[in-house]
Amino acid sequence: MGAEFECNLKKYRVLRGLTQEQLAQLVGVRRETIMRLEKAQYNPSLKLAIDISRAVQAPIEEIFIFP
Amino acid sequence: MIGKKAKRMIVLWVCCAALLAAAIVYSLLYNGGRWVAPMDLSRYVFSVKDLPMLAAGGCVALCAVYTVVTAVRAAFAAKRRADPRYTRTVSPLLGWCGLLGFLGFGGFWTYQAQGVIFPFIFFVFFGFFGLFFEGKLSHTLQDEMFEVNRRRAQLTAYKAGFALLFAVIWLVGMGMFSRNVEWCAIFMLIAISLIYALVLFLSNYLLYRYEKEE
Repeated sequence: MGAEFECNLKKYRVLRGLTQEQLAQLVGVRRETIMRLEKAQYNPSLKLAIDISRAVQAPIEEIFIFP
Repeated sequence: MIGKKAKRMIVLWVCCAALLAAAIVYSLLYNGGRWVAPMDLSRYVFSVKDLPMLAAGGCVALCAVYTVVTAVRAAFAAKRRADPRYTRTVSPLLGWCGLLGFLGFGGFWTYQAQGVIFPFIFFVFFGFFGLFFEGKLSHTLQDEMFEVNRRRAQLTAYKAGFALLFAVIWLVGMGMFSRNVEWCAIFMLIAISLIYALVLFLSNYLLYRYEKEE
């Protein structure tokens, strides 16, 4: 569904020492949503992408890489 | 709070029942069973001895109004308390209400016996089978992925419904049942009821599939 992209969220999440559940709570979504994001199966909205980028303290373009 | 209200309601109804029983006994013993046995109200003449039955009847009516008002207020209060970020809480067992859809087949009998086609509308209840799946997604956080999946499921369901509706309209328009307008009406009623049920069911079923990746 949506554009194909590469997602480095797992790498940055682990670097910050966050579990999927903790990150989900920080950005106000379900754990399932984080799981699908990490598998690059769900294309997030700009707001969610920015929230995630702030939560893991990494640049948005390094977390979500669109060809 | 709810327990207290329920207790008060039970006490009220028990009092009402006792009052009504006493009034019935009084009427049977001292008033010839007036307002207990069937009576012709067009020739009714008021008697003071009718007062206990009339008072008991009034109390029961007031109790009924109070119960309805309390139930409606409680329902609205529960809706206000519900967190809008989560899906509503529904028991998957409600999905069995979909079996009511089989009542639609009663329409064939009522049409044969009385020429009534109204019961075909009951086919709509087949849509309640979707509650099996809505129940499984009870109290789920409606985050953006859930909303996206819901919109996707609804769109697919509507597309399927409209495609079937087009087929039905095309069949009728091309002259199916053209010799019998009644059959045409029955066919349209059944088809529209079933399409409506299908859209209701598919919206919930597909949302469940997309959410659980099945």
